Amino acid sequence: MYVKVENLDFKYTSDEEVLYDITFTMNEGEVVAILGSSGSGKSTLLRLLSGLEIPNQGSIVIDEKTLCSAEHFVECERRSVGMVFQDYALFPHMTVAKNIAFGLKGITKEAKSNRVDEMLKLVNMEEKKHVYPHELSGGQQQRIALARALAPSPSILLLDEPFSNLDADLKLKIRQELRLIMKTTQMTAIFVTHDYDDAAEIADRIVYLENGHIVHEEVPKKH
Amino acid sequence: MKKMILGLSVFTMMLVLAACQLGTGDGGKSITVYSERHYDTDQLLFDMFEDETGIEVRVIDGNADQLINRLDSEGPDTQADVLIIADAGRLHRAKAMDLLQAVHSDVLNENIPANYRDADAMWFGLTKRARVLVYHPDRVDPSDLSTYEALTGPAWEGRVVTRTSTNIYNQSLMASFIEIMGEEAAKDFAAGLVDSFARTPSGNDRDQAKYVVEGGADVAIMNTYYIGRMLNSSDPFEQEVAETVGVFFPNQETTGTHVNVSAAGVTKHASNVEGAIKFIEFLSSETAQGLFSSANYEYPVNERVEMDALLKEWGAFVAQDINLSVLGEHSYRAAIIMDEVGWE
Amino acid sequence: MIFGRRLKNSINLFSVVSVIAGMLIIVPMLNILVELFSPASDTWRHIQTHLLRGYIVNTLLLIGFVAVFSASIGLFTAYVVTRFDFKGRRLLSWLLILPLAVPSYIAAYTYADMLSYTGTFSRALRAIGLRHGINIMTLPGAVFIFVMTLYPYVYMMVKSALEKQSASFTENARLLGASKFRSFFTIVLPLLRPALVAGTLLVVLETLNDYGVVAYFNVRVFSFAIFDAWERLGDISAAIRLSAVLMVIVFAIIFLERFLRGKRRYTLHVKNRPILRKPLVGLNRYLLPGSLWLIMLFAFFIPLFQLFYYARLTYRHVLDISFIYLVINSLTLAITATFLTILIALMIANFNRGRQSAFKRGLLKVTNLGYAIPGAVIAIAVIVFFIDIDHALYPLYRLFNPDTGRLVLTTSLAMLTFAFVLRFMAIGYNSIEAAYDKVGEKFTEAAYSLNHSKVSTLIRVDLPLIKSGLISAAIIVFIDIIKELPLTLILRPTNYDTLASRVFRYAREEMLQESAVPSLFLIAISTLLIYILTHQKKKGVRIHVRKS
Repeated sequence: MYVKVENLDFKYTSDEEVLYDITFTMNEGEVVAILGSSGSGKSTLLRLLSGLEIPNQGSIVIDEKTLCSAEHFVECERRSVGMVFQDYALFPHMTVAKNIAFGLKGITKEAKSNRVDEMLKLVNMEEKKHVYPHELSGGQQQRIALARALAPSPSILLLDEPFSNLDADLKLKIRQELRLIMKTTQMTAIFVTHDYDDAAEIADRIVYLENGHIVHEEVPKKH
Repeated sequence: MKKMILGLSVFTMMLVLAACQLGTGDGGKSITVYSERHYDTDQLLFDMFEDETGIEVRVIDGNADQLINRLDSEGPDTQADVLIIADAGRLHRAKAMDLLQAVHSDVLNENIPANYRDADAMWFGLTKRARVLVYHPDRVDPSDLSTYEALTGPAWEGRVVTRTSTNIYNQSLMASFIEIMGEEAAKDFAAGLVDSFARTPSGNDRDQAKYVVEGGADVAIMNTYYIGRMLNSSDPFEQEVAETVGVFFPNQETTGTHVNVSAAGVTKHASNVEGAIKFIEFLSSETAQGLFSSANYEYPVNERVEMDALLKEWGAFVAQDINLSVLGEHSYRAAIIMDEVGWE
Repeated sequence: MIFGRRLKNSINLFSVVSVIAGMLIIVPMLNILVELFSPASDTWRHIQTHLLRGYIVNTLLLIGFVAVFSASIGLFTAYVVTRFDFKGRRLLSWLLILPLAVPSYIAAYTYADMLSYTGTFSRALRAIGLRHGINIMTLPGAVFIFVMTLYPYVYMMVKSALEKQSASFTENARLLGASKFRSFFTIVLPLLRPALVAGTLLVVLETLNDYGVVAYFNVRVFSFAIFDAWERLGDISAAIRLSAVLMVIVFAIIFLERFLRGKRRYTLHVKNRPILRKPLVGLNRYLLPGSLWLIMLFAFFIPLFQLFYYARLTYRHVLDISFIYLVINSLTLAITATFLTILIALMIANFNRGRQSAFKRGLLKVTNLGYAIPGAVIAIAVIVFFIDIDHALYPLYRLFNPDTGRLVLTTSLAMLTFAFVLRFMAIGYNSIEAAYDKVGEKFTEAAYSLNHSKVSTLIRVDLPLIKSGLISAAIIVFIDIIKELPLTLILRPTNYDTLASRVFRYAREEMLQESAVPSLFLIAISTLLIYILTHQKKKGVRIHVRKS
């Protein structure tokens, strides 16, 4: 199993979002959607996986590395987990290229530049290389956020409500693009959403989360 | 409608503020004095004057240069009748700016020695101060001191302090040297003095005395009345400083110690000229001179008046024999020279 | 046709007031520019040869060091207070603003006194055997004074920016593998740039305008030079020329910053997730709060204790009937001037909403100018201007009072009030504009669509929404006015003493101990206002408007 999550528990004093005994697994290259309404705990799950929060108990293992267990906690800086936030959070004071290059470390300048170009090509935004985020539309920003997260070749990609900021037409288009990119890169990915159609379209498997519990899992029918 | 009201209220507020200050004509029953000095005892004297003559004294105090500039920009509409400022150099400036008028008063001529009155009778000195050498008796034997000029010698290198050249007292000091020795010699003197400085000029006159006691310098050039003030300071440590230092009147065998005055003049556009003259005469009289000068530990100009105990202790001294009008005449050149030699 | 219609539409209370205000600010500028075209006097040549270089070097050194240190301290204090949790944090978070209540010149007089041979510090040092005195009346001393009394400007701006900074950025940085160190220097710090720059610029402008400190310490910078040329060398045109040079420097700085900024922006609308404070561990638990308390000690408590000591010695003969008038004078002047400033700033801010235009942008730049022009220059220009007005309105005055003197406005508070409005307009405006920015245009536009006039909307919709911003603006302007020195000294009507002018007079007459009482009153009033400013209830209208 590429991803192994066992008995994850989370309760934060001032937060309503709680998770109870979350257990699931994933294969490499699988795309899983976590489906739930707001307050179900789905965003919290992502934050636990990324290392931005510490669970009360449980363990997370990805690609045979224990990221979190009773005796061990790996800081999120060292987890090699890519994440695309709901609001993209592109660094406003850096160009697109600099944003994408931000996570690249330990390689030559030339290698970095090549990787940036590679990512831009992947998301179809080559001509925007030296543009600033505020000059991009919402959909474009999302693509760059994706490119930025993918650039350092993370072991897993997390996406928090990737479609909620887009209007209907864009949604359909982006859904297909996203699926294509996932498959091209063979990225293991988890994304969180409240919309069944989004989940069905892209995910190989849907996990239903309700009030902090996993209540159901299914393989969606594809058209 | 509402905007009209808003706009009008802004305008009205300005007018109301102005109206509060609308001047009303008066009838010779008061004089307005623009004065740089305003000690508590001055008020006593003003009250005395009012009792004697029935003329009310309204005082507006401020910084000398600002008072002069104000007077200048007010022009013929000014309320001021009398101008009192320290330093003859500044009074000359007021005179040059055509802010004063000549006064012919036998009383004043009698009370005040000619050197301390403007040659054109535009201003009249009321209190006198000397700019002397203050030294630390542990490190300086008074017999080593003689003249201002001697301080430029190699023996005094790095041992002298005085305040900044931008201060009017030093400017007047320089002006007196220009009068007595000529510009070139005065410039050499200034340059030599700068070489003797223990530090770049910093602080006021009192700070110089303190620096001498502290050990940073051995001799300071400063005004006599500051010593008086320090001796009577509410701060016991300042008293200590003043008690430690010695006071030396330079140039006694040669050109005399530099002396300056606080003086008064009648403004050119005074509305109550008669009252103004009476006021100045009063201040120069034997009744007022004692109190007026000792309030600031200064010498009275009226020679018939007895000095303060402290001043008596220092004794009589020979002053520069120049009419103080020249302090103002040479003031500008003095400033230029001091800049040129790098006296900060 | 359309242009005519647009023009007609745009003439309203806001625009009229704004345009008039703009013109009134430009007038002093014109006076200065005119001087540049008249032939140079000998005095100017003298200044050029012997003094100008010193002035430029000293001024640049002064503002350079003041900028660096105040930015550092402001950044450090704001960062510690917003990112960490420790005992006394909440108290410190507003205490750190208090040094603003101490006018720089009061801090200067007090420290100079404490460090003089007979002062508290020196005696204490001598008691423990250190004979060497510290002379604070130098350029480094001035840097110290300005940094201590002005860093709160940077502190406030950076703190506000840090509080609003979304966690999204730092979390993303972490996810992308950046260490905390790297994250701070490449993400947090650059994003703070607008706040840092705005705060530091304010500090620099205040430093350039100061006269009290530099005159006392004999530090030869431009503000000193301007007064010196005017008073010692008696050449007002040389003084104006120097002002022109000073303004060129100021504009150069502002321009340089804008140029360096380029196309970058520093905000992007992201979900506002506040960053949680982290508790301090280990030595930091003492070191960090300790350093904050240390700063407070030097910037506020030490001068205050010295002042209290002197006040105790002298209050009996300083507190008399005339002192009450002093306080009343200060308060009424400040209240009136603040009210007018905020009113006009509000008009201009309103005028500036909606569609931008070159004209509006130009007007804005003019408004901000007042702050950059040194007080001395404003004073000269204002006197001349008002004398002209007085002469023109003379017939009107005679209608009210046949015996009136010719100079009515000039001898009244109007002149000083006008100068204050001119100078502090920029501050009032910037605060109000920031408040409007937060609210956006939606509500105002809704009101217009419901047939409310501009003024009615202003009173019933806009003002309640920006209430707290308005109060903050008023408080900051008030404190600045009541502390202000150069304009007050030159332009006040005869016999009108304020707390500030009295402090200056006592200090000038070397009656430092007597100056403690009015100083303390000044500081007390400002402290009270800062307390009110920082403890404004956060409730009120919550704006949940999604910006597209």
